[in-house]
Amino acid sequence: MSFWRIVLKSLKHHHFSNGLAAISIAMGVALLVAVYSLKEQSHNTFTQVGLGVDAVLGPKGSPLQIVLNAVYHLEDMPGKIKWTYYREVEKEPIVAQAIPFVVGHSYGGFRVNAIDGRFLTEFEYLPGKTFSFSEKLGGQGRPFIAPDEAVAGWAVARRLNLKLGDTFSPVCGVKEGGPIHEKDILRFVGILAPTGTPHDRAIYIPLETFYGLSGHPRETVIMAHLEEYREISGAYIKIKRIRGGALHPGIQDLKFEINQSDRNQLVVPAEVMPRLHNIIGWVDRVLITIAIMLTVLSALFLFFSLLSALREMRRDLALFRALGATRKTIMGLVISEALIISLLGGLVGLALGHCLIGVGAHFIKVESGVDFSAGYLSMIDWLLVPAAILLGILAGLVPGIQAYRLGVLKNLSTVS
Amino acid sequence: MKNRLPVLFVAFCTVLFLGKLSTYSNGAEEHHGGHEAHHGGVLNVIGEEVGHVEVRIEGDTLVAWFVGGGHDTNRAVPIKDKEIALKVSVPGKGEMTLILNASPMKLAGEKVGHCSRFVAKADWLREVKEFQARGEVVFKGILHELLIKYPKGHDPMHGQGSH
Amino acid sequence: MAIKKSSTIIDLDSLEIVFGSGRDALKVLDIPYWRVEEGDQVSIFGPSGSGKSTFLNALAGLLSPSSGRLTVCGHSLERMSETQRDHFRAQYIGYIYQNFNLLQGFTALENVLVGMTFSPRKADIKEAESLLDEVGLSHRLGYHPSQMSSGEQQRVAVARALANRPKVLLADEPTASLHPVNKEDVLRLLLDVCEKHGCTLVVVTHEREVIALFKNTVTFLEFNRACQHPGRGEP
Repeated sequence: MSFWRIVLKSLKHHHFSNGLAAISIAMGVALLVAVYSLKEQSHNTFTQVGLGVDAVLGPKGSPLQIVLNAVYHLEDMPGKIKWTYYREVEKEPIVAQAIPFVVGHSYGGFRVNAIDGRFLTEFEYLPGKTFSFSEKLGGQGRPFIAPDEAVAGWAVARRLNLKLGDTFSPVCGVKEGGPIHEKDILRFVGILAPTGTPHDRAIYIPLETFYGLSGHPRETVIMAHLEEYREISGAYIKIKRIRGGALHPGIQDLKFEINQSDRNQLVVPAEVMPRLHNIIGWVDRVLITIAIMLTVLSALFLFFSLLSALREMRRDLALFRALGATRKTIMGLVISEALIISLLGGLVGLALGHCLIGVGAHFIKVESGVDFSAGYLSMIDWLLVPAAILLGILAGLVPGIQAYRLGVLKNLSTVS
Repeated sequence: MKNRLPVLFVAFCTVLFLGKLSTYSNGAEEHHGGHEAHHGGVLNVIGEEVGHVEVRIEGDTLVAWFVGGGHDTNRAVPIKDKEIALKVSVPGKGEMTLILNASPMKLAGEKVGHCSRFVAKADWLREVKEFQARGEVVFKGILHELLIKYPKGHDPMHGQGSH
Repeated sequence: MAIKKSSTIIDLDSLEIVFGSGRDALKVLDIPYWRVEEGDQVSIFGPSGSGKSTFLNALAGLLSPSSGRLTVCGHSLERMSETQRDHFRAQYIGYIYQNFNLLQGFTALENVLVGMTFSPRKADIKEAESLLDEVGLSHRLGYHPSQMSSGEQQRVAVARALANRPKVLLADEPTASLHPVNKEDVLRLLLDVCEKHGCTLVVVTHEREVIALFKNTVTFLEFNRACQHPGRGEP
């Protein structure tokens, strides 16, 4: 019988208390895993600076709502702006590029954005990077040209299993169950190569297509032809750079000027998102603290559980010593028991944590459109095994030392 | 704001991230104590802080924005005047006259006679380090004395030089 | 340390064991001389509390002599560290207790396998099964101690004591907890298996019917000079 077989037998003998200890560790670890995974995934999603958008020209309303809609394809735009106003802004000397878009449709749970074609050919979503349809990079096809053509982001194509030539009819609104523009059949002519940005999660159609969708009121249809009546949801603004690649300082003046208007505002994502991070950062810290406290409490439970088991195990341990086991071996038995409970709890917690994310991600996606992956591996996943080992050793150390110091003759009943 | 935003926020409460976005360094708003000069200029109080005039010099051009009082420096206050004459004292150069001309912010829907931005050009502005200017302006319907101190600004209630 | 090559398996000189120190010191063992040859079967007879278990514990290396010389299987126990004595015991000594001291959570087979675990040899399931067969328990391999009679438990203890192929088997009142019907059977079994395995056997007992089966018996009260002073006892 091997050393580890003896450890396992002992674990089985105290299966109730050991099981409880493992479960409590699993719960603490599950919470930690879930919190960290969501934290890192959201950090990755929401901290890419502006995603190529220096500013968003949009209607009056919540700046956060505008950024979430325009940049992250979430939420709704709080209104519309006039096409003529957009054209005035486009002419401003410090504006390098202004790309208008209209939101408000969806397909398969993904947003359909009607947008100027330059977005697909000239817009840099990250410094130096424009969208690609190259097959080598994972894309397919080409940008749209005709009004009945569409381009899908990489994540959309994967989730909906899209191929070039597939057709769809946009849904009015962004929730499931909205009216479908059944008479409008649009065809996918391109799939963007993955960018690792929220742009992967949207479908793009020509700007003019929006106005001509069947079922829209005449006032909307006219917008396609008459600029003075045309409205858009907003525009992505790129500002010229000065030496060193910094934004032209005139952006603050431009923002001030536009924000004085009755109907419009200029929102800088890089100014809005940090405020959100600061608020949520505190929630983040509290949750992580709770998760850590729970794990520490679990370790304490394991510690006391081992101490209690040690009282029952004294005779057995003394017998092992009588059979020739050294003090170090006995100590090793106790610490190994703690290690196994800790590792078991950790691994179960890891699996449970990812399941929690999977379940939670479904609801978050339904309600907010934000996508999280149950399979994402965060920093905690990599640190889990070493941490569980350390936890087990720490929890088992004092009981192990007590076992080391165990008196053989005192604990083995001899009579003569 | 739509009803879904609270749900989104609740969902975001489980969406956790530390760290900070790098912010653009050219004048991104931050909330400090005191009043914010949103154009990177210097603020000068009008009257009993019913408003401010923010002044900035770029080369030979002086730009002045009339804005709200207190913390409301982000709100433009249009002036009916088409031009404002300032008597400027520059140390070592004596007194000069500087005419501020209305320069409407078109994107804000302004026009001459309903304009919050004024501009003046003068060669001596290129090299001036310090000056004090006086004038008059009808601000929110009332005639006020205008006192501009550059570069420290003028704010007798909170101490000079509020930036 | 040097291992003496002789047929003397236990050799002691002026062995003393004292518990405590100073004014509270209590001398429990004071044995001037003893030798046991390899393969001998010896009984030590004496009343309870006379120090017989202490003596066996010293022979097993569970206690270090306070003074004197004690050589077992060629190893001078008085010179060994505790860890060295642990290794010695694992390799050379088998021990049987009055109350069996089986591991309750382990089956009969597993109890015997544990007897092999700490010795240098690998655990061998076939050999463990063979030992249990020798003691007449081949039908009880998967039984836990709580499912066996006292006689069967002591037989498992015998098999476990032989598991590491010891040179010396020490038995402390091996039949004291058994029903009179089983005493002789277990004792005869012990004698037979020790002879078969070439094991030297030392049994301590206070039962006359036990010593009747041994050719060589030591009267402990005469053997241990510490017994000749009143007011002594094992702590």
